[in-house]
Amino acid sequence: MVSPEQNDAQMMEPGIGSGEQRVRSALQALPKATCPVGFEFRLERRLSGKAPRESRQSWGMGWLGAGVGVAAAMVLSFVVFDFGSVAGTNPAGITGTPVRQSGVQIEQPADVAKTTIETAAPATQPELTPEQLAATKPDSMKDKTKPGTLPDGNYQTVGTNPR
Amino acid sequence: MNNKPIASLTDEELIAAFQQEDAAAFDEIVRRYRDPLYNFVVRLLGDTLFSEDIVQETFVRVYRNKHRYHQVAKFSTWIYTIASNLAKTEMRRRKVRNFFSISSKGNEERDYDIIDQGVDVEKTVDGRVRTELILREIEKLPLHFKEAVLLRDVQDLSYEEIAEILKVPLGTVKSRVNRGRTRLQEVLKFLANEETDRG
Repeated sequence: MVSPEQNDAQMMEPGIGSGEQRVRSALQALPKATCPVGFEFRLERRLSGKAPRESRQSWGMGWLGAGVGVAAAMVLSFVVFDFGSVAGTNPAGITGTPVRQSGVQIEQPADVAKTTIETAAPATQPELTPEQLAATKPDSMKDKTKPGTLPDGNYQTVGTNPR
Repeated sequence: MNNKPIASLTDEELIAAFQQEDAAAFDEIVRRYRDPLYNFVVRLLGDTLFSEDIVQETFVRVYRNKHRYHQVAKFSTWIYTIASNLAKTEMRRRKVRNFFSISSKGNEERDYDIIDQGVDVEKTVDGRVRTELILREIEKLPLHFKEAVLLRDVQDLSYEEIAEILKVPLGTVKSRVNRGRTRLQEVLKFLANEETDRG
């Protein structure tokens, strides 16, 4: 065990003034910085030619790359899978995979659908012949399927309505 | 090759063993010098992250250039010369002006941050303020004074060793150490007056 007096004597430098000695003692009493944990591990990596640590920049670039990748995948999924045009979905927004059903086919008769279109026209409009009607405006309902109507091909959607 | 335990070998014996491809000798060199070199470079650069890199690079240079060491010089002189040159190159490259950056303060405080319940808190705080003021004054020293004072008073190397490391005459080393200390005396006088006033 070294006493404070012995320690002071060891730190003393012969031939210097008390002011200088005070500086020397103060500098020797400064806290000693020690190597961070993992120093040897990083040194081993460096000696074997690898980067001692992952740089913060590379971490940042990694996360940025992942973010861009996810965003690109989302955009692509909307472009490639245009959900509105997928056969089997109907205007009611029922989503799901078209499934072929066996058994009795439920289909609305064509003449009933026609009647519905005719009654949907405003009563105040003057009577037009079918030719005149076709010339003035296209029949927007012609190609659309009524809600609840099964499309051609005996398909029926199965799934849940998100609303 | 002698059969002494590796821990009892001198530095010069260790490097000689390493020159004979004894890997354990290199490990012992790292164990002996990592903290003193790190302390020196941290004080010189004021950056813990870059200081670690410089100390590691020092050991890499020792590892790769082991055959360049000749027994005419002390091993400590050789390794300090490598570390000092690398630190100075880094300083010139980055033009480091902040001696103790925020990050380095954070890391250093870990070393003496634990306050024992039996310790007078006021004294502990005073001690820290004192340390901080001294470190700031060291930071302000010109590089050639700073490295001479650090090698002499912090690393406790002899004037002769410092002269070899810095490649300057012995008289120049003594002059630099003396002038560096004189500059640091000012802040210590201020601290001594503060303590007298309170006492």
